[in-house]
Amino acid sequence: MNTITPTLPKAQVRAVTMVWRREVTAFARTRTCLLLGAVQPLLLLAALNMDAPRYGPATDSAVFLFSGALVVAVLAPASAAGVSYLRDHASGLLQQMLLTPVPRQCLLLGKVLAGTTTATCHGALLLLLTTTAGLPYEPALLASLVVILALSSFTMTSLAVLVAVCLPHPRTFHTATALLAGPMVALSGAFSPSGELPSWLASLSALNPLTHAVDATRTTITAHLPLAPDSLSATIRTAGAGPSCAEELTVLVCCGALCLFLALRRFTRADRHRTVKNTTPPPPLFQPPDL
Amino acid sequence: MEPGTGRGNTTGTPPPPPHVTTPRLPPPPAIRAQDLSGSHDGVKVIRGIDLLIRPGEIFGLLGAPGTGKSTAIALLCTLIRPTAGSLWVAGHDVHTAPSSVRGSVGVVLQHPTLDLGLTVQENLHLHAALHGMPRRQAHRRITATLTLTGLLRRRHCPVRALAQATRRKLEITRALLHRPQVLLLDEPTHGLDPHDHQQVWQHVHHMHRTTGVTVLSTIRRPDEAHHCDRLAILQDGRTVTFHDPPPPPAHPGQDPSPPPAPTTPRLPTPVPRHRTGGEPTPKAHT
Repeated sequence: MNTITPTLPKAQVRAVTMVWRREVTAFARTRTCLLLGAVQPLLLLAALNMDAPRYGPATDSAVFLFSGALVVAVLAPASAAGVSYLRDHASGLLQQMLLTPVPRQCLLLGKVLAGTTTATCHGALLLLLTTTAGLPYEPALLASLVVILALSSFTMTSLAVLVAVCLPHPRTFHTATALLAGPMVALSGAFSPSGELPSWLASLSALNPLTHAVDATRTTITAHLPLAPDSLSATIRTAGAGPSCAEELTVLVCCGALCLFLALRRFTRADRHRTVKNTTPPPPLFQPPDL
Repeated sequence: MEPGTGRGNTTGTPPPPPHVTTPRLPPPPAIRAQDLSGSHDGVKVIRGIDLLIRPGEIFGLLGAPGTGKSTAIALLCTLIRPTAGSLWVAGHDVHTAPSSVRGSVGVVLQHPTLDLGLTVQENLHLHAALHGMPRRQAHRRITATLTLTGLLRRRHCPVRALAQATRRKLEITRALLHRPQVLLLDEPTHGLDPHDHQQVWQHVHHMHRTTGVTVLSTIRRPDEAHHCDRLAILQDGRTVTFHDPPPPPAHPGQDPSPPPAPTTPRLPTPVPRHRTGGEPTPKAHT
């Protein structure tokens, strides 16, 4: 028999770590996925740069588009965490993991952390091209951008896993994520200034976590540029009059935490309902013989 | 010789009364179910089954497709909740302590559940971590278990490179990694060709002899029934035939009463089970 109770914190941390390691190992071993993941934001940048001049001088537009592409780059790998959940659900591997005594939250936490890691790595690849956007290779700037990428990845991964837990059918999941991703990118101001949106859409964009991620990215970049162009500042939704970068990131993390909480609640709901108190007395295991 | 032992006693004195020893109580059953019912996708599949499985035996649950065999396994391993009745597995109540039940059972589901993208060792490490085993203990136990099953040389092979029968054996090995008291097998030979059936059952018997684990296996084919010590037939969600174990003696020294004869049509004569390295063991149902 085991000598360690699976409900101890140490055992739970190990379980989360192993689930995380399993997901990251699977990601690292799929070279095609790695390559396509690195190419996707580059293609996006190349396609959008063709129409850059309407946002101002080339440098302003490059920074504008680069900051938007950086945040959008985490969307696809984040949704892959939801796909991984569906794949495990369909293959029976998730069922096998549910047969272990470790708390169910550990399984989902491991998946979310793994999705955050892979999405952050995807986005970080784009940081190698900061010079093409006219950004300096400053350690402080790069570290700040990595932090924003990690928080954005966490939020998007939590949202993808929540959708997967609620809609475990693959077709429904893909339809739902497509339905969410398009408006989220359009309203975030990643590729078009938020000031051009109608007022009612601008109000909706405040509920979009990507909007806060894009704002935080542009605020951070603006703070590190020696001469921040006015046109770039104008694209920040709440420039000079709204929440600071830290507040934007707090809102972003809270959105992610809410999605994670709802996903955990849904995922463990069956287990919670199962542990009902048995009011009938237990039957005797065996009858002792009469002496 | 000591006087009064009865051996070489020539004095004619009556032997002393036999020493009254405390009667040994039988061990608690590994699985005990009373009027157990369960549903699958809203359909009531199990409609009241009774099970009493002794520790260390291989128990078979035979039934045609759709009779509720997989649902019974799902109830026993707490994958689904019983709708009625009581169920105790390895001394734990599934209603109040499902986590303890999951820690005490090893399960091999009908369809393969290995991660094809990982190696043999990585699959076992994942399972060990989910059962709360420390890293060093897991490493030692994985090495010992792989040596026992002859898979040590393939520990770094990706699972997708293994044959179907080998994957099945690996799943059984994985299920026994945390030393459970009960092993639940849901049609362990499902999807395998006849040659692989024998391999898998030999592996089950080998692990059963080595670890002494109680095995409950659902089987679809009657010709696999001889692998089990006792058998129950599942029909329409109920156990039709059930061979009860002999009751414990009412008084010390009394011989146990013979097991009752089954009340339903007899099973076909089983083929003697051939254990690995041993002579054939004839199986008696009654």
